[in-house]
Amino acid sequence: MVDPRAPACPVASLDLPGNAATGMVAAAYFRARLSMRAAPDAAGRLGEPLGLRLDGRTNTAEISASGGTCALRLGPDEWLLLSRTEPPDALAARIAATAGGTPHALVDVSHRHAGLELAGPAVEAVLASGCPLPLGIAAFPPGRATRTLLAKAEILLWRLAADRFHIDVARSLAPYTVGVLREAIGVEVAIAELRSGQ
Amino acid sequence: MSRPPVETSAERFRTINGGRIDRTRRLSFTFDGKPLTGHPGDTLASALLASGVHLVGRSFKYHRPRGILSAGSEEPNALVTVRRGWRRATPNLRATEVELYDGLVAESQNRWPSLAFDLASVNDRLAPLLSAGFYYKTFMGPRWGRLGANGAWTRLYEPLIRRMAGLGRAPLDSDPDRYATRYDHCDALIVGAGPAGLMAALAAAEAGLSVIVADEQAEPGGSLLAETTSAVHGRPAWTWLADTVAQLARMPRVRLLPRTTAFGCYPDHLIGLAERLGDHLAEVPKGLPRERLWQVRAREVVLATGAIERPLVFPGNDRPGIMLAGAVETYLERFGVMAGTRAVVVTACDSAYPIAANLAEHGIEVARIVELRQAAGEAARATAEAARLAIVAGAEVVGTRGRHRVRAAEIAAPGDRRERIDCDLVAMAGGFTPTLHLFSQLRGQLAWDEAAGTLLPAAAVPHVHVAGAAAGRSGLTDVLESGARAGEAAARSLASGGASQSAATPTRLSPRSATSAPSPARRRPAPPAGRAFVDFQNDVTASDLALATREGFQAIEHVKRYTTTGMATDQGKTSNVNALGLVGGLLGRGIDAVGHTTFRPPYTPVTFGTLAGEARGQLLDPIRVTGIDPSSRARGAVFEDVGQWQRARYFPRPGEDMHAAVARECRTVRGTVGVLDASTLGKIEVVGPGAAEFLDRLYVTALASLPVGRCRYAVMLSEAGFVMDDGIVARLADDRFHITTTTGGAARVLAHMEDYRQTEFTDLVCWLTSTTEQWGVIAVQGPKARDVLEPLIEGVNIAAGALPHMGVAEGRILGVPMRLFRVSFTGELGYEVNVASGYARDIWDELLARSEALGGCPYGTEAMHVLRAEKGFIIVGQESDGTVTPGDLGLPVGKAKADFVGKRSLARPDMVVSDRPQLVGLEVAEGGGVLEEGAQVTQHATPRPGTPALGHVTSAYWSEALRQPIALALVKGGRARIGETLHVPMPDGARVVRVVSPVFYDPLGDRIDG
Repeated sequence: MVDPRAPACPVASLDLPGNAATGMVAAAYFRARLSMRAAPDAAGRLGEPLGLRLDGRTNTAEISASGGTCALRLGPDEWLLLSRTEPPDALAARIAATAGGTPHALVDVSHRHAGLELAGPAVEAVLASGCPLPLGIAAFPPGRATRTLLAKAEILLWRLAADRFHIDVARSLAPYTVGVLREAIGVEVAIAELRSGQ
Repeated sequence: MSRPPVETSAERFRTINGGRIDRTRRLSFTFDGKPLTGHPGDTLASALLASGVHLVGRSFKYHRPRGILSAGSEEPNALVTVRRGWRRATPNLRATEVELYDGLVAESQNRWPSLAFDLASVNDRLAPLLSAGFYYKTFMGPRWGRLGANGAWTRLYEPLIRRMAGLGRAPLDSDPDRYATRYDHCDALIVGAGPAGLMAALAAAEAGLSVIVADEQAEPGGSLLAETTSAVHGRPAWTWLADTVAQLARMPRVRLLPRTTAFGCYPDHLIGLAERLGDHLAEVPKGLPRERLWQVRAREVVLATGAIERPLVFPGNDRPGIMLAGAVETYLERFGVMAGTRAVVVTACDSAYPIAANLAEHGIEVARIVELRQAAGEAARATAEAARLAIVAGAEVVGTRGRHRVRAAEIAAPGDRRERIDCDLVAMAGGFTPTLHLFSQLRGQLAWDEAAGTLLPAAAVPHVHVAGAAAGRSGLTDVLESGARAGEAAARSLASGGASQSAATPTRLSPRSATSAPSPARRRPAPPAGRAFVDFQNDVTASDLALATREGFQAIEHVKRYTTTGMATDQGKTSNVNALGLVGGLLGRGIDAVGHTTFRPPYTPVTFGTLAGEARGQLLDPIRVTGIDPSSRARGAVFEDVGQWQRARYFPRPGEDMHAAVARECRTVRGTVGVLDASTLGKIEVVGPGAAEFLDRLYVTALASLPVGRCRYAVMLSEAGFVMDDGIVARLADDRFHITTTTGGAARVLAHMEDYRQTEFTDLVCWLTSTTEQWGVIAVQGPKARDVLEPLIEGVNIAAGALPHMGVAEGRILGVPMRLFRVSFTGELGYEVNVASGYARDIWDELLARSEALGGCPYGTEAMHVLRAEKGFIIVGQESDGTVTPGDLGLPVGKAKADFVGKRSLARPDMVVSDRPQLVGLEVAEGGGVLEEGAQVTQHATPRPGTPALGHVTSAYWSEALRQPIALALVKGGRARIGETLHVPMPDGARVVRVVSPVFYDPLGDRIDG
């Protein structure tokens, strides 16, 4: 038998780059990722059993009071529900139980993406190597989350703190994304060494 | 540094003191193998001049000896190759921009056997034969057999010309360096860190803006770097410069980027910057990127890009030692280098007079000031008189002497008094051309300004502020003031969203023309006799321009292309305005009526490495692999690229070639069972009360009636009625569908569906979610497929008759949730197991082990292709090419369906004619072998040239099941031709083929139930 609680980690075989003075890449696991679609005015009702209001602005994150579930609002009618511990079917069942006739879509995409966490003092510069968005703390504060690009890969970028970002990337693009981050960290390290040597 | 001391006297033309070079350190370098020295702060050009080296290159076409014209990035002549180790060679670098470092190795270009003795300089003697347009006139015919009229050109002339004419040679090895990219954003991007740029930066930063200042030089300062006498705000210029740079460096929202060229402006204020990080270092730290591309989105742009001095157009104006007057002063003041000992200053502009006086003060004898105008300005004359300099006004230069260095200038004074003046330096001052390349790229219009004698901004552009010499300002005070105003204007514009723009930049700038020459057109109605060069880099002379106008070229863009003026790597920075003036004069119309050519990016050449950034090797493009990939690699699978995906093509066993492996895999699937990694199939989950109706409208296939638990093969058309994609649509619940797309079409299909969902079918409530990567897919195909699966799954009954062909069910496999599709792309009993990607490899390993225990094997995409072709199943993109209808492919189009995307187009007259290309099978006559895919299908074995083909082969394989080659083809009116004999011409002779049904194997479909 295959243990359904132990799926293969999509970045397990990758050598994750890191430099303490610049940025470190680590695997970040979510057990459940549910794509939820619903009309904006119906979302509050769907979020209720999870303790989520789902009324935040597009491209922001909401974390439930218990901290167990988060919702990234990726569009006017689109939320990505995340849980590090709860399995996707249990999460979906909780929503479905109270949804009644509210039209919505819940699709399990737990395995679609690989999660990475990038942390360190130069995270903005590392990401700016391939992400065209303004990533300064004012333009992209903690709690902001959006789909964007990192070089040629579509990523989901979520700022957790000033020096910490979560990156969700399609499973098959994880090696490429890690490669781009490795290159960017290498570049920042080399330029920092050049500047300090001058 | 432990190098043997070098005689100071080596740098014979170095001043005793002064300049911004570090005289405490000496750097060694070589030029064409000759050891020379210089100092930190030198450019290659200043170091060469310090040692008296003026001959540094050969010209592009005539191989004329050339020297150093300028002191900046506009340099047309002094192009060199710099080598670093055995792999790194960078050709065509401007010696005026190459920073000197210890151990630098530079070489001249476009000469053989040596710079001083260049055999190809015979071209110079042949100049009368090599006038403008000579390529077009000379290199025609003769016809060379099958190559036709172009044969002689491609085989003989072009290779010869490429060897004769030219620039440095590009290295053949792959580039060993690293390149980086960077996106950035700022309130104000300031291009140029000269006096205007620095003032603008200060003003903008003090107003609270985030500022990036990009400057192409090694240190900020621009023209101030050669400014030793003036004071700025009560301080010596260099003190003010150091203070200001330090002040800016302390400001947290200001970033100063030296060695960074703003090379192009793109829509919405996206500015491309090329930053040079490593090329100036003697030892480049490992891992340091050589260059970095910045893509900066700037809300306000301040262009403080300065101005470029124009040469003068007189016969023999291109000899080494003939330089721009401003450059001569820059070498003196910034680098402590005397570009000569006895100078003739040729000028049409007052700016030359203080320079001449300064040269004389520093011990460079000024033999004569040749004033092309009737008289200089009052102040200029006074300056010359104070320095006791001899002026000859209303004169012109009629020739120069000297082979590798100018030896004399020949002048004609009023009254045709000819005089020859010995000299080793000629300083030219032809006025200044504001650098407005970026302004033009930002959609700014330029207009000729007669008073300023140059092109200037004609109207303001929102959020763009031009300052300093770029705006036609001259005089340090005015330039500083203009910079500060531009910075303030940027802040105001930002605050008001651009509303204050018109106040900030007057629609018509009123430049002070104190240093500008009058219009070149006014000055010289006819081009000078003799070879007077306009474009030094492309060797275009004034008489070439005259020839072009005589031959009827009037539009400046045509003159440019015919003569190639302004088309060299320097993009005509020093030549364009002179060319405009000459053409205006020749055509008898004002220079303003001539217009100007387009300022295309890049401003200076940008390396391919910079543009590529990290996108090389493994990061060239994402390489996508499935979760099952490690298992397939461990088994030695051979992979093929399918878009960004890598898919296992076949699994060779020891001793097998591709043919043998594929044949065995086909036999195994038909005879026993095979497993295929089909994870790359695109998948979309469609959910919502309107999902069924939505899909029904999108696909040709009727889907509203699809029962839960069933799937259908479905075809999607573009609006034009052509097949766009196909796949399986499975209904999991009333309001939930799982659909598959082709591997390559996944993103396109999702976008197409989203487009219709959001814009056309807004009455339907449903949502689309890409699930391509959520599911790993394993196809189990073959008579024993059921035997493989049955013991491993729970919750689904797959006993014979329980889950029919095109059924779908959810259950578990080995404890893991599964969606099980009973579908077949092989014609055999088949299933596709979908499990969440994280389990795919484990499940694959188990299914494979069980298959092998039953005599099965893994199979790859090649066997999949053969098996589907034997059944006549199409592959979108192979049997279809965007011009193929479902009818052409023999796919049913339900007449009953009221509408679907593309239906209306299917009724167009051209879509219903009987001789459209139709999908058929081809059987190859005995001994013909496998046809070539893409080969044409013809009536006759050797059709007469010009006969249209009947169609083409879309797929061709060896069919192991039929033991013969098979092919699918699109043939005109093909279905009516079944039974006919046609031909397929191939390089080694035509094959005879028989048109048959595209279904070669098991035409009744009996095998689908095992």
